[in-house]
Amino acid sequence: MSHEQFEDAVALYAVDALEPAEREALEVHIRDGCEECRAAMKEYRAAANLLPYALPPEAAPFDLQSHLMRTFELDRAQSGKSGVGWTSPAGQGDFPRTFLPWRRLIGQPVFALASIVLLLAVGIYALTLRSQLQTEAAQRRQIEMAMQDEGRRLTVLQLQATEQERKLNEIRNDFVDKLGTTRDTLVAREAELAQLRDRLAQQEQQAACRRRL
Amino acid sequence: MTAFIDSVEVLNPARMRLSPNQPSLTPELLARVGKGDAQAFAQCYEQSSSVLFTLALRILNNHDEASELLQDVYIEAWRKAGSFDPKRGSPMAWLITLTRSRAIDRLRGSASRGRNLTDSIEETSAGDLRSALPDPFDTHALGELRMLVMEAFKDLPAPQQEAIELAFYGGLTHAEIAAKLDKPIGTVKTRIKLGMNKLRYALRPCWEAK
Repeated sequence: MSHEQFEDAVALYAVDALEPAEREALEVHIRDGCEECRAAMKEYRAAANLLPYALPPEAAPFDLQSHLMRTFELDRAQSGKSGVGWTSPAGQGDFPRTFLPWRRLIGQPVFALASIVLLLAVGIYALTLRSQLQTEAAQRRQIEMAMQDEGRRLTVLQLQATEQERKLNEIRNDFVDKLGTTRDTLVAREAELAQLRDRLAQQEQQAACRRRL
Repeated sequence: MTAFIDSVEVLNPARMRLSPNQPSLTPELLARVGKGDAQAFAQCYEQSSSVLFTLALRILNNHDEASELLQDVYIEAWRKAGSFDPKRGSPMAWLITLTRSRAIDRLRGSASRGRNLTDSIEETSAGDLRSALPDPFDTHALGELRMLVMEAFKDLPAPQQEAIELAFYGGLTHAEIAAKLDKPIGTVKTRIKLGMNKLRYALRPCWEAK
């Protein structure tokens, strides 16, 4: 490859787009002392490493950090030495004490006493909590029973209301029937009265004629 | 191979600041992590977890897998922090490279394309290539830097963005990208080259500013 070809390849190298053989060839070219390509490589790598900052930022899972810390502690406890698969920095011996310094207290009397006090406190709290839960459960049962009673009473009242409504409808229908009959009778009477009036008028006319004669 | 990349790492955000009052992710902080300092680890996590998780999520496109990967990355970082060499780059660049390599390894399956990014990290770098440009975080807060990078990337033509993303986030070579897009290899190479060149010049103020 010519220098120009290597120069072109630098941009692709920076984003890992070269084939393995091309990568190796470019690395050799730069190691051999091409200052131009090395200078270009610096800036292309700089630009490439900033690419993630162009992405819309996402927050890491909120509990990951605490989970990591627990993982480190657990792994350390299990392995009886430092860190996760940890190899202490050369010449530094044991895992540094700055990591979880409270572990040094384990085995000391004050730690045992504190543990007992803590257990007692947790036990008392658990008993109190249990008692509260039982009381609340009893109260809830009472409320449920009262609600059931109220429900039954409501049902009875609804049945009574339905019966009253039915009776009221019967009375109203009966009244309507009677009212209709009465009205018919009244109409018939009025017709009879009109006939009687006509007949009386005729008789009065006949009587008047007779008097004139 | 990635060690080679590290060796010519140009960004050295030794005094990287996420906000004016936030402490830096410095090589010293990483050294404390290497010595098992839980507080330093928490600080390191605070300052890097968002960008690393964003990167892992972009590559893997799966929230659970990205979470799992980030956990592996931090465990490895904790384990290897003691042997971190500041001359090979900044702690942040190291973590970004570690996260990207692990994510792409997971995405593609180890060594499936004849090279294994994970293993390449372990390689010894060439001492004569070690150097660093001025720290872009000296003059740019994280928010400001993020805006600069976003603008620079947005200004690229869509085909150049696509080719760069397929390489950087998809772990594909130019030949694989060409096959995927059904374009000639030369076209893909040109797109990556032009796009990266524009980014290089657009972002140059990040490491040139003093």
